[in-house]
Amino acid sequence: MFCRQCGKENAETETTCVYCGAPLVTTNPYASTPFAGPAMTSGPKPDNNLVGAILVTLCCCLPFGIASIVYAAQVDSKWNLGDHAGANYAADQAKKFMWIGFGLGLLANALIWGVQIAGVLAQIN
Amino acid sequence: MKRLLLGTGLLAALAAAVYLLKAFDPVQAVWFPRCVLNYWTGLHCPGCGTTRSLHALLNGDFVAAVRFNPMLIIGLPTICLLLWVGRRRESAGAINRGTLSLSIAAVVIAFFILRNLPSPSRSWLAPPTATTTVHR
Repeated sequence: MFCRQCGKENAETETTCVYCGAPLVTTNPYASTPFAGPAMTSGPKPDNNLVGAILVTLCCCLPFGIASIVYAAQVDSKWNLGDHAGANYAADQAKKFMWIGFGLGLLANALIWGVQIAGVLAQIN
Repeated sequence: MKRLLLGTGLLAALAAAVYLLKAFDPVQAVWFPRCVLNYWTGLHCPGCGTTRSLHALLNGDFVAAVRFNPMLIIGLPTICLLLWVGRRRESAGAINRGTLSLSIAAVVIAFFILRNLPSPSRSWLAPPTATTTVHR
């Protein structure tokens, strides 16, 4: 295999480069060991908030819930592919849309409910 | 003390909600909150039928509860269970390829679409309505 540090070729059995001494790493893009690669440096995997996203979709009936679900669903697969920045971004977006959906949903529901009750009261009077 | 008050408040709110949902039929009572999306667009959101579903469930009519919102009665518990199992397997060292969360998202979105096909009033997955078109 080739050394990542100096680019020279080494025997497959070597664990460190015979030319520069750098550790040799297998670069198999399909290898997916749980703790492979830059996972160690970018912190733990972010929470995807999928349940929260679904609850907002079910309770607040707004497209923000769907957006949140779409982002939340990408977190695990992106993380598994090694795209930790992408996974963190998706998790942040999922959380953002979840809270926007929650807030706007609450507001819109309160508004509609107020109009509805006002209508009922007007009918009674 | 603060937590005790908060807990008591939440419990009281839950009890009140359960009582109101059990005692009053959302189809008859006029003061139940309506679905915003349905109010504005006429579409069924994935949560439409939740109030009627819970009313049916609290009165022991499981079949009606499922018909009003299968995603709430069957889907949500299943999703929570699958995610819990997935999380346990992941913490035991299994690789999470993200297939589970992607499938869950696909199912919820497909449910949203199918509830409105061929039309919101004729969809097999839409909450059944006897005479009224009001959705709570």
